[in-house]
Amino acid sequence: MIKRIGVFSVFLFFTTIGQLQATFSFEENEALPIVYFNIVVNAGSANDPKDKLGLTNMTYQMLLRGTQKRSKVEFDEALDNIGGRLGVDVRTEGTVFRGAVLSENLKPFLDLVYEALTSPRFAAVETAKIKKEIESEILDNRSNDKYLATYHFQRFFYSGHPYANPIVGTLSGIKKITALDMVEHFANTMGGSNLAFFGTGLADESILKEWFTLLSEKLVALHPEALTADDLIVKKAPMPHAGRRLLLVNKPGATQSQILLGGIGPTPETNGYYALELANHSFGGASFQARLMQELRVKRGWTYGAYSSFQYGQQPRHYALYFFPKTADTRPAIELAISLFEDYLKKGISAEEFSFSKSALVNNAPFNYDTAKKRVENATTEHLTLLPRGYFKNYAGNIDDVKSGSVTEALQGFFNPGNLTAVVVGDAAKLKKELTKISGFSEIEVKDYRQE
Amino acid sequence: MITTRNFSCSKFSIKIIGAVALMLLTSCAHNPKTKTALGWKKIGSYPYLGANSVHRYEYPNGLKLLVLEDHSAPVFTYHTWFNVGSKDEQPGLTGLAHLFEHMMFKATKNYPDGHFDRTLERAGSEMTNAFTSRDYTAYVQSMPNEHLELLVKLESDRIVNLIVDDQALNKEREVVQNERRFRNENNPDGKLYESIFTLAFKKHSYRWPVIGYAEDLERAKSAECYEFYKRFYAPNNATIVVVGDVVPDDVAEVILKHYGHLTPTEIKRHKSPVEPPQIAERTQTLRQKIQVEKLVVGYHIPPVTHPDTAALGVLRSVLATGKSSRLHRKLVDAGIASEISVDDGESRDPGLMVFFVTLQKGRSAKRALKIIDQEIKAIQKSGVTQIEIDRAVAQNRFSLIDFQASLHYRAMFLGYYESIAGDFKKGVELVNSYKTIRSKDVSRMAMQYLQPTQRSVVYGVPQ
Repeated sequence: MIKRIGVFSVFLFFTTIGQLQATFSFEENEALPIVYFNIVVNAGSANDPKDKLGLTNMTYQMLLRGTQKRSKVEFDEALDNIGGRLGVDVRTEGTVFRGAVLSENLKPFLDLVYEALTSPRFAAVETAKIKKEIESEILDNRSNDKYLATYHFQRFFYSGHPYANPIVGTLSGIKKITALDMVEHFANTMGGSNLAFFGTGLADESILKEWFTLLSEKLVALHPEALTADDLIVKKAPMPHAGRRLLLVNKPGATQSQILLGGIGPTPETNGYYALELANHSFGGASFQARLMQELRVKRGWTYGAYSSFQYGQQPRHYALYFFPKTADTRPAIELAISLFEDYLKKGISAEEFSFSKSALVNNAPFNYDTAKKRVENATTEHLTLLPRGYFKNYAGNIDDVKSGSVTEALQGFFNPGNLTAVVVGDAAKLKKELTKISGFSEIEVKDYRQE
Repeated sequence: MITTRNFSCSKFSIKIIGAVALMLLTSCAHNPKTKTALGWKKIGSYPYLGANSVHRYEYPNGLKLLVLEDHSAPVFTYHTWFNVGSKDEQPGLTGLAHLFEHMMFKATKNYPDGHFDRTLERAGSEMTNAFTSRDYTAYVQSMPNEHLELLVKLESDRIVNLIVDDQALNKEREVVQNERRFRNENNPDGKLYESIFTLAFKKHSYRWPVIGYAEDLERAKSAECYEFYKRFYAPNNATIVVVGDVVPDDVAEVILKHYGHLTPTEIKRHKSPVEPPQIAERTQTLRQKIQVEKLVVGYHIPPVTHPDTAALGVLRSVLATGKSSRLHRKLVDAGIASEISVDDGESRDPGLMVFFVTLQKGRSAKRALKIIDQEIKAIQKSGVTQIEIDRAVAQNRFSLIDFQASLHYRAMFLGYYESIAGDFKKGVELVNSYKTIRSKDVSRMAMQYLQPTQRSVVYGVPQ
């Protein structure tokens, strides 16, 4: 039984600020005495120069490390004394300044955010410190095998494309970045007209709108030559790779392998996109009934998690299968996952699977937007990845419109299991020979886990 | 340390609770001892953050129910918290509580394997998940509001009708071994965290990891699992927490309908030995596949119900919560560490406050420990400033309100303090008392609990 979802709360409205292209949207919500907002810039790691990977992340992190009026210590104390939270979330295609504060402290909090975003200091001493912190973070990330798999998949799969740029950068890139680079990058990418504001909470919308208008206008005045949002978005699609290839990231002594296996994924413009979403739920989505989960975990116990997913993006991103068996089960698990994928593409979704996934996705729809915070995050993602406005709100309705025959057709029209990129993080001494026996993976590139 | 059934939902870390708890209750209970003829007792309704109330019910079979209304969306969260965790295990059978948490999603006498997940997922559940800690095991679901009875029916069934056989156990054992490889064996931070408890506790059952030792998991028998199930899974060992778009008395009725017939059992616990006072520092060095050093320091602290817990909370905040905290300044801003965090260690029995430091490249964990010592000594000698206390209160107040934005986390707060403190109101009282703490209280905490002789230290160094 599928239930159509009704609208149960106020959704965000969007307005354009004056002559600027900046977007503002606020949902008043009296449930809690708190205000959440995201200030979104269309610059992310995809906008990093090739020889200075990590520049966007470092530049925007520096906005919270001292202003023309306050040192980092003074800024931190002012923020902590209010009890608010201000963070920087740099992504591949954009950056989100995420603020949260009790309503009673909104005014001083907005003053601080304004100060940080319009008069950062980029002090030499803080530049030196942040470089050491990020270098250490990069080194520390190498102790996390799941991180390594994601990192190397991104580097290997998108090689030569801006989507390959790691958000925190590389050790070689970080070394080259100077304070001047950051000042210039800030001026080039944060111009005011490319800002967006998405917020919710207990506050007067007009106050926030006025504040955001002032912020946008100030940034326009400060950075008149800044790039527009249109300049900053990723224009070139990544090139799909023909055939199968495997990168083995060697972690000597590892008793478990982290595996990502995938190819170019669909976008909402792809023909049959929602049929593919439904197909993914049935194959490896967040469900214990999905084929990957049933075959790899439930029936065989080979892995704790087994999933498949798509990524949203301005250009097509990847789809990937993810699982992590012990070393001895690595080869059979990959072989089984590939054969399940091939079988799925060949025979398509069953009537039972179709019915189940449709019900689950449609009935679960309230959880896509049941809290005001989620609605703000949805609007942020829609804005940054150029998803259709209302994508999350309309998701269930679009899934409900999918016809049974269209799923198999969409699967067979989109995926080619002959084109697969795999990254395995594990003990190469035990794995390499075994992995070459998997159909299509006779050529394996091996890399040390400490390599960039 | 928490382990979960479903990897994808492991983001629901309980550690956050202790750090954010604050000021929930604004007045005493009303509706005391309302008794109906229907078989449940409404013990009281407790104002919660002003507009909403937590309604407490009890049943003749010992089952407890907490309900908090929120009609902002047509959904609800449903938690079942059992008073059983890894502390209730025996040496040689470690990991049983968590392994059993996985088993709870298997076939019952009434429903085949997979029916539970399949039915709830089809109805639109946001998650069918569970997690285990040292003190408790919780089963959590979020559902569209029309499916309350469906969920209650399935939850009540698996408390008594689960089938525990070798076939089901062997498959799930492998899954859990893989979870262990993921969280501990191949995760340097997980291994360090496991080691600090093993080092700090010599007698008490907090010394072994929640997920258990690999060899114990390997030898676990279905008969032992079944015995564990019969011993701890009973209505009188459970608290149900429902938060969301529901009517409290209606929830109580549905619970009565499906749980009312369950009979209570005598909960026979192995009494864990009392941990003797630690009188000398213990240290251990782990050589790991890491490229920067790590430092983990654990100090023994009293159980969460102890009067010192609030002052310890302020001490923890002053030392290591936020960028203005003393250790963030002296370690991160000074270029020695890239990160410092502190785990509150709130627990039913005397627990462990754990500081976790990730060093910067080329920096020494031993140097970081000296700096921690200096800051602790400074507090022991001179106390803390009123600004620092006010900041701790402000941070915690903000975090608490932020926590309420999710139905799931509201249920977590209630279930957590109900489990480790025996009553969610004790969690409320605890966080309310933060603002009463003075500098001398914090100084006394540092003097009493943060002595080098009472601590354990694990160094993680590159191989």
